[in-house]
Amino acid sequence: MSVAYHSVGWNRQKRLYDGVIGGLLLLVLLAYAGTVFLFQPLTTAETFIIRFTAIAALTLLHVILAIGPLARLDPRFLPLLYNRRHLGVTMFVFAAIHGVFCIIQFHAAGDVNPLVSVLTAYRREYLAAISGGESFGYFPFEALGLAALGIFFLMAATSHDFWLKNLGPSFWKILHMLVYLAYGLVLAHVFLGALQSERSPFFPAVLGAGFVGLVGMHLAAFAQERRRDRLRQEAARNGFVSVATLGDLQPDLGHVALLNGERIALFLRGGKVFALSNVCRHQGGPLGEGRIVNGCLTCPWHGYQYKVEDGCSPPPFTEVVPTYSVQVIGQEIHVSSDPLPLGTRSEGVAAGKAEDSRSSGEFYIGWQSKIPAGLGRSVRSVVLGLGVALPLLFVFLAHWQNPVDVGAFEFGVERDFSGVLFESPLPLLQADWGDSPAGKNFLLVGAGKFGPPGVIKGKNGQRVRFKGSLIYRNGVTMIEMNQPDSFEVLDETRSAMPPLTTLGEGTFSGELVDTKCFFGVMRPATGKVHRACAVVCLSGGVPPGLLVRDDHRDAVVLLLVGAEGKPLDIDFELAARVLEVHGKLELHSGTPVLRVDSWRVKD
Amino acid sequence: MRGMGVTLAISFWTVAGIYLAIGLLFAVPFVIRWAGRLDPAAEKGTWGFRMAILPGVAALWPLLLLKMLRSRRDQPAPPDTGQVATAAGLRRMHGVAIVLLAVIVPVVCVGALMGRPRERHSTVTQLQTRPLPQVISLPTAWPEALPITASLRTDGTRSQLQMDVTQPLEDPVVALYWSPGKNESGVTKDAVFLGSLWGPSTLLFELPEKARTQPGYLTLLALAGEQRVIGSLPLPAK
Repeated sequence: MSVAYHSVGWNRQKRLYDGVIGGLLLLVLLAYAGTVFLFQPLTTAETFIIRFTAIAALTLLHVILAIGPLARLDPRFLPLLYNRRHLGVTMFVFAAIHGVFCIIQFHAAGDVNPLVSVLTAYRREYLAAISGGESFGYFPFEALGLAALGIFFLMAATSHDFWLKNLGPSFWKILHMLVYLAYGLVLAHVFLGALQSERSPFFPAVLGAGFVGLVGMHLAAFAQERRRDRLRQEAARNGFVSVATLGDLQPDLGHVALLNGERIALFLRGGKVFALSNVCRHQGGPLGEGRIVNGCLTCPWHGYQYKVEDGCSPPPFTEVVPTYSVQVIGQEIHVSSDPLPLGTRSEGVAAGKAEDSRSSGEFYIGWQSKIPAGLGRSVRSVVLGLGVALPLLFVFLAHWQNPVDVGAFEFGVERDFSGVLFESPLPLLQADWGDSPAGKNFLLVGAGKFGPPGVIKGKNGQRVRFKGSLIYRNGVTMIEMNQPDSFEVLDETRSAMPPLTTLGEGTFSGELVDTKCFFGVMRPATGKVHRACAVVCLSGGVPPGLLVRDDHRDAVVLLLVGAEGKPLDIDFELAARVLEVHGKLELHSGTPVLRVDSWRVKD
Repeated sequence: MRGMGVTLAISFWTVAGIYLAIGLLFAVPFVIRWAGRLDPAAEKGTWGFRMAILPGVAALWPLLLLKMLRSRRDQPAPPDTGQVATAAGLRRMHGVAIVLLAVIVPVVCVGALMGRPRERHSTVTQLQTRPLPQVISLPTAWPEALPITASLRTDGTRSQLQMDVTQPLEDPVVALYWSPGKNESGVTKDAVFLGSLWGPSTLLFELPEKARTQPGYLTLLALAGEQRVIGSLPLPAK
């Protein structure tokens, strides 16, 4: 309701509203960060951001979806509705940060365009999971989140009143009703993604409670309105329909009636009865639940105003709602079946009823500087409740998340390495100690989601030197050769591969992982949430590994190579799936290597 | 050869990219100038407002272009008189959306939970050195005050070195060597690499046969970056 648009039509209530949003978000951030710092100190910054923004966006989405039915069930919640669009935009910002970080973390820096990877990393599961060929739990969850983010973007981008006016209220409303589709997509994204790995029942329990609560509130609001609509439905006679009695009306208070299946708003103003559309031109708010303020009927949602005589907003505003002809026959109010032409002035119909009782109930108007005292107390109670409940929720969520993996990646730390390079069966450097071989193996990978760079080709057995960054986990070490230009051959004499220890033949079950992420680059580096990243890494040449357990149930990775010592021929989309692999197990200077004879998908 | 799925995804993003690029090209003049032609309230809109609607213009530019063309041909857009006519329809749509949500989402989410893969990992015992029964020397601390204690175990025919690392080590890659002789100057050419150390952990290393018959010493070597000896401990023959 503006003669010239601003980015935000600021007023005191909006500032307060945004201040409360900011304060609550800060509280939950502190609660979450504190719990993660205390109980999961190995969490990396990017994992923290991905997890926190996901939880924050999901929480905000539940709050946003709850406000509508709550306000319909109890007008004391109407102040929460006033600036809901800022909540929505905030939620989109969190969801967008989550999406961007996930795309960078799990899909970028590989041999596939990250946006293509989001949709296709393990595309075989789309049909397989739906057709029942595979477990439904394998359905790719990334595309669902992306679709939801697209809807949230459209909603945030069209949240300004300019769009409401220029797209038309009906189209705008339908567009924003896509939020229910987005909510469903988000829940599917979470259940098919993070909850495939998170084992605590707390997560599905909290989400399930949120879902049941939301659906319950919506159904309760529908039921309440349906009861009210059923109270009076009359057939038209002479173009007029009896919709209410004078006893239903109170001076200056709206009354919602049903006319041919549509709701209209009745008002008793100055002893006369007026009938208007019930739908506010702004966001479709229920005008019949509003009241007369400063001579104008005022929408309970955002305070848009109209004159009851002609349905026009007071100048300089231009919004108009349809009005209807009214007849009062005895105690019955009859309203014309069809609305009058827009802007038609009506003098109303005398009700013959004295204005002896004025409502003492409170009415919230967002653009007024002060909120009525009683409503203010209610809102403060809600905010206080959220201020206690939300940080607690975030503490529990942070505490019960799967612990992150223990590996380390010295990102940005450059070290010198020298030793004898071996290309097969796996690319590794046997480090030097002065003139002596140190005996310690370092697996080699390239920058990003790639295997070692091409400079090592043909240098098998030669002494080399290069710079790189360390990746290590429980004694297993790897070098990211992120500076191929530093690579130089020190001695072209070829050394023989050190003797290996054959441990025997066997069949092993475990998750197919990419070793670079598992040994320290990613936290988490296993499971469904990391599956797309593992696919891209394996496709880029990172050595594959089979995650098994040792006697102490600690994670151990058997490096997988083909039977002839060549790279293993395997469908990379099987990353993060459980495989049963048969082969010969060897120790290469302490590094376990499985020469694969055969394999099959086990899960 | 890439599959049809990848081709479809590339096509999708290409079309989306072209659509948004055109949208951005359209959005710049629209927010500066054309918005005011459609909506008088936009004519005097602030720059903040123009920036706020820019992403939406880039996304929904065909609708706005259509509206502009209509207004240019003096064909006013159909008035939104449908507001009253569709209010009940919108409510019905809302109700259907909630009912669909209430039916479909639980099916998907319960299906997803039931379809969770169970952890099925083999336990590989060959990789783990089993501790020998007899401790033949008391735990010994390293003179360099490392958070590591060493002790020897045996079954009479073999010897093992048990290393109890009580804290994470400062150096990321620490290799353990046994060298023959009494020269404690570091890792010699005849040194035997026993394995890697990390903490906190309890690790067992098989000692070479010759360690039972001749004196030697253990060396801890930090391998990453500036390679250096961080600890050394004599190991007499038993």
